[in-house]
Amino acid sequence: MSTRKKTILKVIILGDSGVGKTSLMQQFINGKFSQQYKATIGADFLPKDLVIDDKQVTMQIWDTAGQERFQSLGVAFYRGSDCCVLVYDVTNTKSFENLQSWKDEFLIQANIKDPDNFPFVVIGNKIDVEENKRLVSSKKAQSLCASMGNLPYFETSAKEAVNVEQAFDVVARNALQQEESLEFSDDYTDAVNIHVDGDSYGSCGC
Amino acid sequence: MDPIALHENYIHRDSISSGESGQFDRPQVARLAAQKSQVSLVSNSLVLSRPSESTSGVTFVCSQPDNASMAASMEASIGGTIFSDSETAFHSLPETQPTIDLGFRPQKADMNDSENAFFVQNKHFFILSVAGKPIYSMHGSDEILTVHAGIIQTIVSYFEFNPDGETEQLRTFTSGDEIKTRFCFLNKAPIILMAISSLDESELQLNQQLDFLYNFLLTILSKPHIDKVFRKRDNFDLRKLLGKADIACLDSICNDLANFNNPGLIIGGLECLRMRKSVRRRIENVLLAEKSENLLYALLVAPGGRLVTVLRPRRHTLHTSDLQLLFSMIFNTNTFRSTPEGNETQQLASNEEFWVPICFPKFNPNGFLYSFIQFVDLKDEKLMYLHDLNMSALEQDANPDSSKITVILVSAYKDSFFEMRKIASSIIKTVKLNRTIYRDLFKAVVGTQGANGETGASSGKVDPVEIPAPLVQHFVFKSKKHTQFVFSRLAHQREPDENMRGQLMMLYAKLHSQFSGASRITGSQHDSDFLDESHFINLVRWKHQNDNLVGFLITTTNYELYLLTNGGIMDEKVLLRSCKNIIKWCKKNQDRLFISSGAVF
Repeated sequence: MSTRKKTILKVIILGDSGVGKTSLMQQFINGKFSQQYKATIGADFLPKDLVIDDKQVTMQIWDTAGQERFQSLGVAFYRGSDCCVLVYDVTNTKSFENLQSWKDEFLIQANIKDPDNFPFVVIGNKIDVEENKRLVSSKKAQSLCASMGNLPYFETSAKEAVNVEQAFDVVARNALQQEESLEFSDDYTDAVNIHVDGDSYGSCGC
Repeated sequence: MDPIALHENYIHRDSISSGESGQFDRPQVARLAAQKSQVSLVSNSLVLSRPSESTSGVTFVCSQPDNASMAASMEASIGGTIFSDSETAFHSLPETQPTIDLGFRPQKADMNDSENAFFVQNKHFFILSVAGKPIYSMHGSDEILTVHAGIIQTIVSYFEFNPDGETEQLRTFTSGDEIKTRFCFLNKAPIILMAISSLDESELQLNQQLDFLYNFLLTILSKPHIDKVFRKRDNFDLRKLLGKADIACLDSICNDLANFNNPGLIIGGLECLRMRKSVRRRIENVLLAEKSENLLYALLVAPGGRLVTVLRPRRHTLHTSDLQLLFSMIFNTNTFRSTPEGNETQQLASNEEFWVPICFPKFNPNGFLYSFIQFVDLKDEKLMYLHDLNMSALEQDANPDSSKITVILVSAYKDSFFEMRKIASSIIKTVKLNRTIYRDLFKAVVGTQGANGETGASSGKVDPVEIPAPLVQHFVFKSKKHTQFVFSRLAHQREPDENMRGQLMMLYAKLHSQFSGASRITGSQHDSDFLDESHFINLVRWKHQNDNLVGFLITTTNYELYLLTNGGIMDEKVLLRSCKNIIKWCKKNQDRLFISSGAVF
């Protein structure tokens, strides 16, 4: 096993079923897009190595299932995340309206101690569709992101690889910043007085 | 790398048994009551075979009783030669080891990024955080670990956070038919550990192994330190706190566990250096003379982690697993090694002094003790001359570490280095200059010296032939009272090499797990040298070319005796007499074989 470690960034992707979470991740990692829709069961895990300002990082991307029945896994998936990506589909108003509840759900389940400073990135996917099919305008989306705490907002097309790199670059940078905040600096000062509570007799008779 | 999706059937609740151990077809073991002097040894036989199509692991095929012919006809594709049982004098035997090849292949931790290489391994260990961030894996690259850490975390969480609100802990499940692969989990939130084994190990065994790995993390970090970093932030990457030496030690512990290389971890106990009681007493007095308020424990340790003796305060005992961790740390890594000039290989640095903070989890998981460690080479020309030992007869190519004893002084105070150093140097001086102590340690560790000055095998380990125990090729005797054991040589041989040791311990581990899975022995509270119907014998036979190897475990409330015989030429009465001889011999010599209390102050 390696001794020179890259920083691990746990990134979780949330959003309604069918908004394109898996497609975004596939495009970002493999540069591929599949027309076929296949629901994610539970979660997919993909690693992606990146270099950010000379720093080697591995993004451990948790692509979760949007379907309701997998939500019981939430607590398990969310805890210890370094960044949360909220995805909606620009052709699906409901998925846009649910962004706030995805965010709230995440903050509660992940037990985030400083919710105001936790990095979220919002992505509006499927901008490759014809203009008349688009139901959520950029303006509307931007204003929601502003109201949710000035969250970075990207409009992407996983199908045509538009803006995906850029969005995940910001995800990675913000995740790294989060990971490095509160950098642990305590030394090993908590040696206790052994003579007080170390008294226990066990299996060894020697 | 392709994404690894969690398919529904992979984590389907019905296919995994949680809470209690999964269905596992334990090969039947013939448990025979040895009635007085009559033992009937033939019942079920276990045939060990290696399916030719399999790439890893061994399978135990259990044949039906009274079907000896079928068992015999199952040709096992195992190479190697059988033990020689000749009574030839020890010194005239060739140095080469006889081989038992039961499909055991030593394996090593790696960071191979090939998934194929990863999946054929028959033993895995993983350590991750409850957030699913990777901490360590025995095999595979960081990339492979990153993916699997997420999957393992999900599987564990799936049971922990049940949809119906109940919480369960997933402990184990198995998969596969031909070769059963066992998955075992240990949730020590904020740390999760998992083992995978295709070596036919039980849940209990794997759990103990995971516990040992977890305790190692505690020895280097301590419990409050780990809790604190994760309390501050769930997303903490624990690898930040693990140095190169720590990873190397984890690798080495995993190798030991996968290769059955540490008998003490398998049967639970420590090994002591066999030596005269009076000399051990003398060494204890040397330690007692140096006792100081700041000194908690003092240990003298022979090569291979064999205890010579300990100094301890009356109110504190030393815990077996704490010492096993300490010895793993000292003897299995290169932390305490250096490469002397003109030498190519690293060896224990006998010209250095070490001061190391170590948390002993069983003693107290909440804080550190400080250990002064120094190695003393008994092969010292001046000392040998002083004590009339013949230098020229020594083996030139012997492992330089095989003649070094270790002095360990443990203090609760981190600024007591100089005091400990002074104590150590005083102890070492006495050990070197006291003729009886030095000569006895030399004899036990380096080798005996004949009248003509020739060096023979060290007396620190017994040969079954010495007892005598005809038909017994090897044995391990564990005294439960002492939590210590005797590990014999192979009959007529010096030391089993690492590979052979692994084979032996793999067989004993098998016996051990079958015993621990069996129902408790009832009755038999009395101390008896003799076997009677209340003592069960676990018997496992391995078909080996045209011959059988038979492994036994005899267990009573006072001891466990593991032994291996060459089954093909087995005379049951002779064998039983041998068992009794070993037990009698171990009892008679217990003051030489075991440390009963050490030097207590």
